[in-house]
Amino acid sequence: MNKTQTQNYIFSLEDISIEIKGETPLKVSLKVKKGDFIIIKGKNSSGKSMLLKLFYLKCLPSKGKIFFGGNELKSSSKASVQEFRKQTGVILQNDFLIPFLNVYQNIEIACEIQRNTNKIESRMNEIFNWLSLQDIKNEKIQNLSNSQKQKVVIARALINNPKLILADQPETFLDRDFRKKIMFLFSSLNKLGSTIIMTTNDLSQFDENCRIITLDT
Amino acid sequence: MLNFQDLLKKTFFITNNNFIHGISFIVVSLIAIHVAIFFNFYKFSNDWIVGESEKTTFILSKNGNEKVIPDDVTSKIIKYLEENQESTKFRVLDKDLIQESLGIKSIDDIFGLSLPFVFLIQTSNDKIIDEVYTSILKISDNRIVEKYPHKDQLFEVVSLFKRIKVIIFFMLLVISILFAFLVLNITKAALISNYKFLEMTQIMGESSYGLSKNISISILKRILPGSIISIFFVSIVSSLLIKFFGVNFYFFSDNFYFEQTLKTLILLIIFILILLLLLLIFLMLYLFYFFEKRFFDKI
Repeated sequence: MNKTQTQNYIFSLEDISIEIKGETPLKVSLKVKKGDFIIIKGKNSSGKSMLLKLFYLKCLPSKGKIFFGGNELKSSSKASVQEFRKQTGVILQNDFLIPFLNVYQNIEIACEIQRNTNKIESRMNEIFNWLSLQDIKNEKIQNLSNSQKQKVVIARALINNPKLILADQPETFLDRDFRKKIMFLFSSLNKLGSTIIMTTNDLSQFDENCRIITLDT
Repeated sequence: MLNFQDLLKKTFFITNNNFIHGISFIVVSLIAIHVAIFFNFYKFSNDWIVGESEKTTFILSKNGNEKVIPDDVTSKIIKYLEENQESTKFRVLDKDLIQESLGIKSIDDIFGLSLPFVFLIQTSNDKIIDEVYTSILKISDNRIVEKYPHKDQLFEVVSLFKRIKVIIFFMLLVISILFAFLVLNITKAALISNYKFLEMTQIMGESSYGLSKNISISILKRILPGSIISIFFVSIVSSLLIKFFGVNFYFFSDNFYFEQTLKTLILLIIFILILLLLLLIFLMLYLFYFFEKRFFDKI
């Protein structure tokens, strides 16, 4: 694929092959356009999280190429990888929150690391309202339930208004009503221009505009 | 706004804060006391060697037919030495001092032994020593005059001093390396226990350089209070040691102890600054390597 072709996509994986313990469980070629909403589904241990790891560039494949904005990412291009990571909102399963800090401070860390110099107050309030975190914003993480922690993780990923949102089963720990709310939120963000790639086992909440990738291993 | 460096400081070593203060105080004190001893011993031995190497002992013996050296000869010699005091310092060893140091005071009282006329001169110029020798020969009417430069007898002492210096320096080096390893192990333990948090910051886009810089500075901030207290502690201990066991070569300087303490303190401050700077560089390199290695996961 030449550079002009890859430039049309914000992200593309070419003939990726992920080897685990000498086997080849996953072979992927995928192109992601700006504004895409991609859902990756599959059985447990089918490699969904591993594939998502490739998207947030925590690992590089042993075979194949990854392009971001038309440029091939290699192990030597760490500066571009860092820049990419700063522009991405990542929601992981069992994500880490600092237990002795409160909700507000845990979200603030993302602004500090991703050098968000804009006034964050209004964005913070907006997100607190979306995720119903207003009442517990001063509560320490160690005092929260799993579903509240999951909301904080989602809030932290969204605070810097990322162009690309990567979520690994964001519905984990959330009740049915809140799952609907979260999926509606993701759909709205997608309509506003964010590209979303997420893994999930619950396809009931999504409309037909989503691209669904099924991993069969 | 939350300060990321403060956050790292809080996250790292949250439980063993006092332990790090205490251990850094003890170990830095150990290192600093070696520096203080090395510096003071170095100064002491150097001053002593320089002073001794400039000294020459002259011994004027009586003629065979004389019972004692005539007083007019000794007076002439003293007068000559006093006249040349600008170029050479001198000291006449009186009879009592020689007898006492040789342990023959009581014997002399019984047998009436007569001692040679002994004096020391101190100069770094060999020509002056030769001039003094020639003049003394003339003044003493060709009596037997022997000169013994102390320089010739210093070889073994210098070699002993060198060995002591090497031992102190070696101990200093060993403790410094142990200190570096201790800090490294504490850091390693903190990295392992906080790895999830650090991985999260990497996923958010924090650079390896930024992380290593911030964590290294946080660790140094933990070590700093213990180090500062240890400098003053060692400085006081070393000045007390000098006061009680040291030798003041500068008899005429009233400020000797104050100057010595101040010099030791300044030296220790410079040493600790260099030590902490080296530690910062070492930690930064180690942490940078640690984070670069984990920048991408292995699959």
